[in-house]
Amino acid sequence: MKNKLKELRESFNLTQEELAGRVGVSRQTIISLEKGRYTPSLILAFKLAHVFDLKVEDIFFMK
Amino acid sequence: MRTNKQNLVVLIFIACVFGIGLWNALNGMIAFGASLIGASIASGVLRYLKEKRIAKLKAKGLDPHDERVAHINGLASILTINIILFLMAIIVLVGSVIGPEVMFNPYDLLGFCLAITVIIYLSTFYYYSKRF
Repeated sequence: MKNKLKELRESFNLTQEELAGRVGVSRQTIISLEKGRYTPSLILAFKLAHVFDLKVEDIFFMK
Repeated sequence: MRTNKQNLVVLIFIACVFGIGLWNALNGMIAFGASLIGASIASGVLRYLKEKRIAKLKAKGLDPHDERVAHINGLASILTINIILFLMAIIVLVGSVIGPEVMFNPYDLLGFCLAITVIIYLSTFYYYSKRF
């Protein structure tokens, strides 16, 4: 699964730590998500979508 | 981060280990007593520092024990169980066929097994934390 997390985070001028704080996870989790090494739970995916005011499928997609 | 009740239980356990160490040291088993005292002090200090760091991260809204860590913990636990079972099966199989009969202090043997399990778990956790 791929995602646009890094691009979105940078366009919102957020650091990894700030984004992690907003969705209540560790900075390492954001790093893993951005590198595509970890697939988030549905709850975390919705939280991230809520931060960027997007749909989950706009951030995460199959490739 | 643990609850106050869990912290209290761990604190009591550490205090008990310290007490047993002190009792042994005063009754002539100085090396054993000193090692228990040292271990209890070290684990107490490390726990204090860890809880302090976690509280600092929590204050920023970060969760060091989030779903990724739970995921890694699950994978590491399963792999640890599989490795232990495999090792035990091999040792039992080979040992019962060709191995000599040996006498062990059961507490030493359990301590050794405990140490091996912890080492394997830490190794597998490290492996998965690098992978995810």
